[in-house]
Amino acid sequence: MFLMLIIISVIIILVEGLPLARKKQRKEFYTLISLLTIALTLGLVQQIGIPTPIELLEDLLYPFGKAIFR
Amino acid sequence: MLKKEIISTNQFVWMLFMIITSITVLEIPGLLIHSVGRDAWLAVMLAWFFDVLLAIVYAYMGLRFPGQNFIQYSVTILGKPFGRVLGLMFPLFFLLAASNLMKAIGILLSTMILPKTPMIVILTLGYLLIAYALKKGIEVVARVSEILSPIYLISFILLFITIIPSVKMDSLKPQLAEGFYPIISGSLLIWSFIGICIMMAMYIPISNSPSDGFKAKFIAVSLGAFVISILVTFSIGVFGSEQAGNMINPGLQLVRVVSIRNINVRLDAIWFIIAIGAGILTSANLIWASSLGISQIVGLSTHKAMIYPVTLLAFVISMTSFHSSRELLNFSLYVFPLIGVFVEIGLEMFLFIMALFLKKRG
Repeated sequence: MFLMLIIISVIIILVEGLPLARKKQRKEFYTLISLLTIALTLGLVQQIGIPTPIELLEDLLYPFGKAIFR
Repeated sequence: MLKKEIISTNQFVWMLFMIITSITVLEIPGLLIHSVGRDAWLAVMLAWFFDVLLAIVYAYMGLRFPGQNFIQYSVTILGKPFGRVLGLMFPLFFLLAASNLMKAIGILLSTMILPKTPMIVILTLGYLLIAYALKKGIEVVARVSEILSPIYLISFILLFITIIPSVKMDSLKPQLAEGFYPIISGSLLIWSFIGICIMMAMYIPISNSPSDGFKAKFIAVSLGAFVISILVTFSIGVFGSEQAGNMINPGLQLVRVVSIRNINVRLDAIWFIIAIGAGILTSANLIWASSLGISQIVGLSTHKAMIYPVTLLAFVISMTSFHSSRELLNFSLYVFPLIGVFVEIGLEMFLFIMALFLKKRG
């Protein structure tokens, strides 16, 4: 899946990022790159077996939810 | 200069109805019956009442800060640094809700209809559709919702009418056997899902009649609550509370038992097409809100360039989380409601109180 994510990210940069860079819309370009980096990091984190933020959130809230919605 | 996108009140109502009904019907009925049992319909009614009260706050804030959604007025009320941090929680919540819903759709499809198709294929196709729809703009999504939502509602009404002969009302007795606690906790559970229609605050600034915000939400929530309460009642009436509570999707099982003149007509494929279409459109709405919210927090001139990256992010969250239906159900039953109540009620009430206290206006 990680390879697929890299390919999709490159396509998004070519389709959306390059026009932004050409128009000198730097803020938009950096935000786009940041979002893609987060997506790739999440994919990588899963690949190497580190808990994802959703799993951490689940570990944190599950006991409270279990107590309320028993 | 980009053309400002505008939706009508009619589209506003149908989009909200679709969001409420898709999320609740695809994820909640089994969990709600499992958690509340025979009193599930009472929990839905209580959640409806609380949600209508909350809608008054959202509608008031929409009018107090004209042309602003909650992400923008959180910055107006709390100032840039703190307002941005608080405002970011809304788009993140929508992103989580969209990923959760798409994974629910994926699991439902792979267990019921496409058992040999890999999850990645199902989700890729779904997210491609979402990205395509959103690139066309929210007006296009609104127009499609205006067509699909009434069909969705009619499909429920037809289902309810045809299933009536199979419903045993005795299965619903006795009511309140476990006391009030399950109803109250169940109403919180369903409220956190119905409450995703805080999306109304994203629609009010693009609506052609912002003052109709409360009316739109009231109609949509009432229709949605009607559908979900009848659905859980009939599911218990047909299967009994224990069996219905153990089903992934009691709505789909109800469709499967529909028979006309004792001939089983197997309408589940048609119902599936409508329900999945509505689910994908709902996710599109949530991802639109998320990309718009992120753009507004960062201060971008347009959100259009963020649609593909945010859709990819939602795809990655769907793929990397909730590896089985059991994990997804646990998340939806024990974790999502807490996040939902915090964002939908906690944050908005905090903003409301701070706006009054600091005497802020738009």
